[in-house]
Amino acid sequence: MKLPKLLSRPNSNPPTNTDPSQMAADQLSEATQWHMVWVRFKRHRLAMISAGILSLYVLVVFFADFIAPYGVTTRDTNYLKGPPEIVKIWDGGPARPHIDSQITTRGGIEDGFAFTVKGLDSNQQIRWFVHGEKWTFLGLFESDFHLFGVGDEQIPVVTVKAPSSSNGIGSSSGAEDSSTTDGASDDPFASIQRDEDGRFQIGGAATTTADPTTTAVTTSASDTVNTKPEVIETATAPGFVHVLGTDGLGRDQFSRIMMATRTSMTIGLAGLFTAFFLGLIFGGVSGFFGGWVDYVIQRLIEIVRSIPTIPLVMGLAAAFPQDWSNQKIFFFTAIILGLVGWTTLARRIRSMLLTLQDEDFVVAARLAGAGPFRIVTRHMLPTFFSYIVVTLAIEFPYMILAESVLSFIGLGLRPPTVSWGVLLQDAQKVEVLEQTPWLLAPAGFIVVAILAFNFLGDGLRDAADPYQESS
Amino acid sequence: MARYTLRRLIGGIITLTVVSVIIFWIIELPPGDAADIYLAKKFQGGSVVSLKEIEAVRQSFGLNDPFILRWWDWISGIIFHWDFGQSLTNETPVNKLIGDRMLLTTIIIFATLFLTYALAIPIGVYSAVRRYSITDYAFTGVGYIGLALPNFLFALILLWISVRYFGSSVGGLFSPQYKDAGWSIAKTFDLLRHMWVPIIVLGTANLAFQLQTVRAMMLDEVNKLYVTAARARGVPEVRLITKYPVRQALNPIISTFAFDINRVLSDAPVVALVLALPELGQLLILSLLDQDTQVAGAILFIMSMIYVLGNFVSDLVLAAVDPRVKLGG
Repeated sequence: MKLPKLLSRPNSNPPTNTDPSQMAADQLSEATQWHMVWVRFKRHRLAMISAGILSLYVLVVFFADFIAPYGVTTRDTNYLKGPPEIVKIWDGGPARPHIDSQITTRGGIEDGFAFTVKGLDSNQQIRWFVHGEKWTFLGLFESDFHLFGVGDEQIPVVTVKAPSSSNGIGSSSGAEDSSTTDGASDDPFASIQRDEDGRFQIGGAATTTADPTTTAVTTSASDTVNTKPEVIETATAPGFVHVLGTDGLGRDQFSRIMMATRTSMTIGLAGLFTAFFLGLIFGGVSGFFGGWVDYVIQRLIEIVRSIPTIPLVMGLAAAFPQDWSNQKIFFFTAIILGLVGWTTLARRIRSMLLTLQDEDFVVAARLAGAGPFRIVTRHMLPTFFSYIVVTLAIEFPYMILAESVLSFIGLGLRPPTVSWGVLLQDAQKVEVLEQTPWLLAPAGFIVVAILAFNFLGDGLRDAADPYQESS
Repeated sequence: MARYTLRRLIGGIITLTVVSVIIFWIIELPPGDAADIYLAKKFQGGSVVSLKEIEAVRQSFGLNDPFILRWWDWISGIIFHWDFGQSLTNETPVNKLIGDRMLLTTIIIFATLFLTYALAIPIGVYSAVRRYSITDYAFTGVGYIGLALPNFLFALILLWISVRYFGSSVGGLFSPQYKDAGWSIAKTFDLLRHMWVPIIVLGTANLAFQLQTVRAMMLDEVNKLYVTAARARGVPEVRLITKYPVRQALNPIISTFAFDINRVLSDAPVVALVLALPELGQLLILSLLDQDTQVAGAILFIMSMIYVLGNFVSDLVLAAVDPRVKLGG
């Protein structure tokens, strides 16, 4: 009856199907409610994009172990505080994806400044579907396949002591060291340079004769330059790839974020369902029975709301005993999120029930002798189910946010469990941020998730009510 | 109006009473009580404490009284003497710990709200009047980012930028030389110099909310008949907008004033922690990490009081500007 209105609505983005509108109208008049919602939702381009992004998040929730190349606690001791490694697909021409060798500083070896060169003279190829650490999928099956990695061959790792202006105490070649008292020694990396292939040359001037068969260390016995670094240690180690860098312990940031995404999304969902459950009960009772029950519940909601949300969550979470296991904390954090967050849902459900109260079909059901539970669940709930979905989508970001805040300040989940908030805990100090700004990467994942949920909620809200003009 | 005021006042007092019970319950929630902590501190040397001693201390602390008596002990101290008791972890009165943090929190709240309203109202009105213009899209986009970027992350990023590119930290609320000095004009100026960071951080999220409210409200109003009628009478456009629909659009701002306070109070602690601001929220987190729920409870209660007070004021203001509210009760 009201369908033409839906179709004649002036809209800025054209409908995705190019059918004449009359044909569409014919199809729509026979469509189910969900189909109509879908048709309308498809027009909301941002919401569609958001839905795509969020489905990636869902994939990560299920397959985090597979997508992450390494485990949460796996350490690459040769690459501490390592910046993100850029995967190159261009090396003077199209090339297979690879990463360049990397330097990380280690510092504090004797008096000099030491650093480690990882993968000296060997560009590591990125490979798809490599064997790695074992993981289990929901306890169902086991696998050691990972989406990507660098294979398992050993790569050379050279630890080098930078030339320092002070006379090296533990150095065997003091004659050379004592001559390194010029400005170049201010920059410990000055003596290390990449050649055109992205490999490192140790020693002064970059000799362009890169010989892939011999390591650069042996070829660059440069006697011309006085900034000759001293090789402390030459070893081999398994190769790693860290697309988002590593933290202070050399743990792969990308892998940790993948696992954190799983934790944060799951705990948000658990909190959301607790809130939904409470909201349904309180809102349902309040809206259906009305009268003094309604009054009491409404006052209760007001009271809960008059304590600032996040401080309340923090206050409750602070009561967790220190010796609780992480599973227990996870569980109770979700409950707290629900306990604090149910009020919005309860209010919405109540107001929807109140508007439906006098509808003919509800009155009919009541006259037919249906009990309150049956009326609410069988007759009223289905009519506003789509609104509930919308409310849940809008509410979800708050759950994620509250959990992140809680873990960030150290009252929520604790390491070794990782969530977005736990990861950001490392980035709390300015000094840490200055040295390793890539530890802020989880923030990006949070922002994208919240943004996507907001747009998805908007799109769903417009779609859920096919008869309403969206403003 | 007196009747209405009285009803609101009584409502607020009832709310605060129940809130105080909830908060007192939270204070006692962690395992172990004041006596345990007191004794643990006292006998840290390793000497043995007899059960009798524990019992005596419990008795003297009034911990064996029923819950409602213990609650009354706590709340009556606050009501009659503005005394929040003793900190659990160090033997300092909570009042002393709070000190002038409350003043700073209040300043932060009001400065944030002022900034929010000063920006949200004109921009929201403009966005609604010039709907679907590039400016509208730009502001809506900024609003979305403001909604999605959690406050503490925003603070972290500002902190990083300030250290990375300007070489100085924006944290803190005072320069070192004013930290322990008494209040003076110079100190106030110093405070203002430091305060813009938390205010911008806290204001952005709030701005995003208010922008959407004002815009939506304006969009509802500008198409109403009374606007068209006024336009037909030849009222100049600027005067028309400011005189009629804007007034209507301001109502939700007044009625959500308390919620804005609540939002700032809710977001401020983590921001304060990141930026090292000596205000209430920061103390709240620090004391919670210390399991000092006595201090934390006091702060939670003060925050609720600020909210309830704000709610009361906004109810009165709303009734004054929109007489329909009074009749609805």
